[in-house]
Amino acid sequence: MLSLLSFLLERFTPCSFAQATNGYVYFGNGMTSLRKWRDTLSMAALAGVNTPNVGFTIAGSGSGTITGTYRAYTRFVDEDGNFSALSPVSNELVASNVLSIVATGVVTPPAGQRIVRRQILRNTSGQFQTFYVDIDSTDLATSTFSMSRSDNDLQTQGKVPLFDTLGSDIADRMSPPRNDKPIIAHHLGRLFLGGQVNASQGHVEVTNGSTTVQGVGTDFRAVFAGRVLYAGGGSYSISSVDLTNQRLTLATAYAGTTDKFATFIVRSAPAERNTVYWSEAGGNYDGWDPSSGVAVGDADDEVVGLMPFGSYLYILQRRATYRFTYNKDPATDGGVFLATRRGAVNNRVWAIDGPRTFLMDERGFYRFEDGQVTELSQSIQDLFFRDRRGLSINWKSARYFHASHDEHDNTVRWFVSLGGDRLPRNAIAYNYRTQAWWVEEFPFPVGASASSNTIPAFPILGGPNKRLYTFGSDSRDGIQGGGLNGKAASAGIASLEQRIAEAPAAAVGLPIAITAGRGKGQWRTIAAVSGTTLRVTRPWSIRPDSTSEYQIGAIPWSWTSRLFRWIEWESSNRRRVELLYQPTKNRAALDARLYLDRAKEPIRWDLTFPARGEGDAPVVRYEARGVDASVNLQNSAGHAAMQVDGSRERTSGYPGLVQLELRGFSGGDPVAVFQIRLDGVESVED
Amino acid sequence: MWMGQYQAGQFALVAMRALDTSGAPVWPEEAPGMMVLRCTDNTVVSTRKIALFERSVVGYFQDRIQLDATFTVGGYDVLFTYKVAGAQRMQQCRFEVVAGGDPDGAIIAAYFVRSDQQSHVIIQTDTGICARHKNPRLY
Repeated sequence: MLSLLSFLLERFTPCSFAQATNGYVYFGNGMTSLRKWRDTLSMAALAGVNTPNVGFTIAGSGSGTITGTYRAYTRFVDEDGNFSALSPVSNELVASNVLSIVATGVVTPPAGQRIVRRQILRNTSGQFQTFYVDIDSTDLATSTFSMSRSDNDLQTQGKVPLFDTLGSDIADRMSPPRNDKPIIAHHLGRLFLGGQVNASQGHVEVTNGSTTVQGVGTDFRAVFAGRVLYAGGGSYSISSVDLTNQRLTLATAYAGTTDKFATFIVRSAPAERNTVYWSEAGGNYDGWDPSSGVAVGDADDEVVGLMPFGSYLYILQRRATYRFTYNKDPATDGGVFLATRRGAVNNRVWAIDGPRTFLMDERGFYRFEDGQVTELSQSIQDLFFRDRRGLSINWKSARYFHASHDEHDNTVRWFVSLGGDRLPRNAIAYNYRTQAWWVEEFPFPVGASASSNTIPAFPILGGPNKRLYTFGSDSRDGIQGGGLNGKAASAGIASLEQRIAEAPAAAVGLPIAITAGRGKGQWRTIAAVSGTTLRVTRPWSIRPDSTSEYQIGAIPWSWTSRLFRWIEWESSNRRRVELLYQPTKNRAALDARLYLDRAKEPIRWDLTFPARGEGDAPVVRYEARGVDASVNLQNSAGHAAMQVDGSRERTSGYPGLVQLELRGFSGGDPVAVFQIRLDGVESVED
Repeated sequence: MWMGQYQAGQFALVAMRALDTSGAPVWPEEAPGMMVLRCTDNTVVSTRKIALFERSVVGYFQDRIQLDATFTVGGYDVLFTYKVAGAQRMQQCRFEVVAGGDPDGAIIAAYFVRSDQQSHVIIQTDTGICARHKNPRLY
């Protein structure tokens, strides 16, 4: 069941989450105010309690015994008992034998804040170090309160010191958290905020001498007030934001050239790039001292992640990682130490496995354990080359990269974009037991991942249509059960007709593959199911027909051998491909292809020998003038052999290099190949 | 110009390049206006200005239209209007919304939360929605 928590989040910046010991999950992305939620709430609430932003006046009234010099503050209290910071101080009243002190103009709390009480604090005469709760009221509407306690009585009420034992001002320590930090982490009973967001969607119209900036195609947010606009070579503080008309008002007039098509960035002040802040202690996650922060690392780098790992909080920059440690109070006994000169791409590309963590930065993948870095990705380093043709990482989508750890198969997957997609559709997978690397492609974008906090933990993947997925429960994507394969009756430009209406409505959004017959190898997404008709999102490149077989939820797979060389004297060195596999219960096949001398196209098997079958269920089938030797995996023998006659293969410049590819689609059963044997070959030096 | 097929919740990419009377790319007097109309009844679905793509590409403007619940299945025309040297000019493109999809979009952030009695997965989508799946299970 899906329940809405909030709809005010900015669309393109992923949120960061942290669960605190008070049961709340705090989340934000630096483009809206920090929010929190726990399962007693139907909707997410704003984190922190806004400070009363206006002072009030106090005056004596009547005739009595109150004498002395007084000031007063007000503060709000929310449903969880969190206090706001203090309002601006009232006027100073010199009272002489008054009956009561009347406060007028006390600010009322804003709506939507879960504020349930207001308090008015007053000092005892002769000192202004400690204030006491004189009024504690659930009346949120009135702006006038009357205080009539004597000093002796007042001292028995709740005490609110304004300074700590070191003389530091603590009146502001209950301020709401900053709204410009996209990264949040929980560590040793405190929340930490770090990082910086850059808002640059669209462009702006700027006019020399004007404080008004008009956005075009922008997504200006209310929280931009107080941040800095960079445009036309200058920087300008933003005073206010008109959300409806997408206009900014600057604190000072724009001094650059008038431009109707100016590019821009809105972000916090430069010092915030590398400053990390923390909440108050004692489980007070909603109170933040604006001065409780530390600047970290290289000024020309930026904080991109916060990683609680072991007893430390690791602050990740793009090119370095720092270890942050403290005993009781980060402000007094905290320390920042350089851990390694490796960093991270963002806050989501790390995965912890016991005493070690696996990370990705712009140089590659590495393991961090016991303070040591171990490079992992030497064998796939070319994926990180930015100017490379072919398969390489699309760094423009780096904000959406994320890592997922699957404990069951000892694998870490980094979801990245390897093409022009905005959201990741590929995973670079690493098995840390076998140290094997491979690349996976998904039929839909996987924009996020999480780990269940269960035993055993399982990975959770976020896909389109608000769907969640996990690994390994079936050999097909997204669905279980029968009625998911068969022969097509016919097909349209972007549809396929089943012979029997078997596909369930839940098949919408799932992949469908043509596994045999005309159009074999095509892979589409089902857009709609209506009777026997399956509509797909993109037209077929080769329209299937009644010879075509399909599989819903099919997962395409491909494996390619290393290079070998044919042994030259074929007459005494038979050339053959032999496979041992697990017979499947359901219909399944794999295709074998051979590539000679680094050719991009495989050889045609039937030029070597005619297509042949052995009864109704041939083990190996060859298509006329085809490049696939299709192995019937249902054959109970679990063995297939394909003779390769090399007498025709005398291509020019014969080195006789050969490479085998196996490919297919998973169906109702997993495909397991136990042994692959190539006869008549010898190794090639790399 | 045909801009492709999309599902609800996706972002339709539309683009145009401002040209002068000789067909050369040029910067218009201001950002072009963009009007999206439903083909079946010419209902105006959206009206706004379109932002530039990159300053280095003269006159090229690009936008991603969020296909929320107002974009039902069917074809949509996008009309771009702009001025060059005082003269009004216009361009057009078309895209189609096909069946399937979810107007709330794709998940871009997720977090698992376990309380005493139930579990949740909090998700954020690329349409600004924050929601939670309660007791997610395989099906």
